[in-house]
Amino acid sequence: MADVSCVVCKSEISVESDVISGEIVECSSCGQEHEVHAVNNSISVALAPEIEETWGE
Amino acid sequence: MKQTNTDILLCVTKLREEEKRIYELLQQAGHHVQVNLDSMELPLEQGWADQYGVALIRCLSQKKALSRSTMLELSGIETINSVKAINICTNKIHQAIVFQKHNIPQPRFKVAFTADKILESFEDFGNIFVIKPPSSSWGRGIARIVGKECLDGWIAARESLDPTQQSFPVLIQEYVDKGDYDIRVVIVGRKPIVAFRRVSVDNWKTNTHLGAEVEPFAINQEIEWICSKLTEVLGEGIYGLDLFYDYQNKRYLVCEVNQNPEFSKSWKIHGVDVAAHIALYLQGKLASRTRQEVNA
Repeated sequence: MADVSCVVCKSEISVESDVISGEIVECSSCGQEHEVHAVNNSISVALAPEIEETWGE
Repeated sequence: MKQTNTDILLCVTKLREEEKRIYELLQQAGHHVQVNLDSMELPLEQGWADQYGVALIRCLSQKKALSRSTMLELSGIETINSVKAINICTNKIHQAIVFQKHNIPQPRFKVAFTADKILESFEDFGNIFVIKPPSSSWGRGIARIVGKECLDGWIAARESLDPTQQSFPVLIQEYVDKGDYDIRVVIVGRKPIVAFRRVSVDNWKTNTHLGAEVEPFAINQEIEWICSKLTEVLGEGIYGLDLFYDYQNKRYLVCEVNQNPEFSKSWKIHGVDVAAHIALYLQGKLASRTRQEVNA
């Protein structure tokens, strides 16, 4: 388990240690979705992508 | 002998249930899977791409899917799906033209380059027809036009947002009396692996995103023939084929083909493990690549 800060409200978000890059984690305080970047055992988060015009199948 | 790499590049916007299951199945089979998000670089310099045997394109953004697959294919990686297939499948007008050329059954259509041209559609299709933007998913932007007043409303709304008609051309299709469902067929490689009906009693659009219910459906010979024709034209790959049954003419018509089919909800109902089929297909691609290089 790793702790990262919410990009928006800075609350602590717990992320499982076996998380894969691209998984989405949500901040329990403000609801913001984050995408996980897991590189060489280092876990960071960024704002999750927003829906775009050409999103879909 | 050149060393063959069995690493797989997984291009995704985010790791949804579908992609995570494909990822885990490939990892369990002993492959190294590198996730590449839309927000990440594609470091194509200095032979970076050479380490991957194949790239699975599961970007949610159709523009990004096309852009990333083009760069990867140009750098020498086989992408699933191919650039050609993604290019055709992400544009409903391209699809209609290709299907017409190859005699794949589809609703009658025309391409309208101006709003005035749409007005002529009543002569071609009668009082009811469908307007589709070239690129859209999940049923967005698709309008059923019933009568002149309805079309006047559509044109007025479009004019207020797009006075110079930059979003033209659009695809006009005849409205097919298809009952309250369409049929989704999932193709992996060249084989239709499962079909199901998407039933919507309240909405003429039958996208599961809009609430349509999934019901298992048996693949018949006519559907198999359409799938075979499609993969002949588009090349093998992973497709979500949407069919209508035309009750008037008693035959199946291709509504459209999707290049990045979703299946997280439907596979739990029809029971066919689509992710497992995709993982096996990718492994087969890698194995055949290894054989080709050994024999070269």
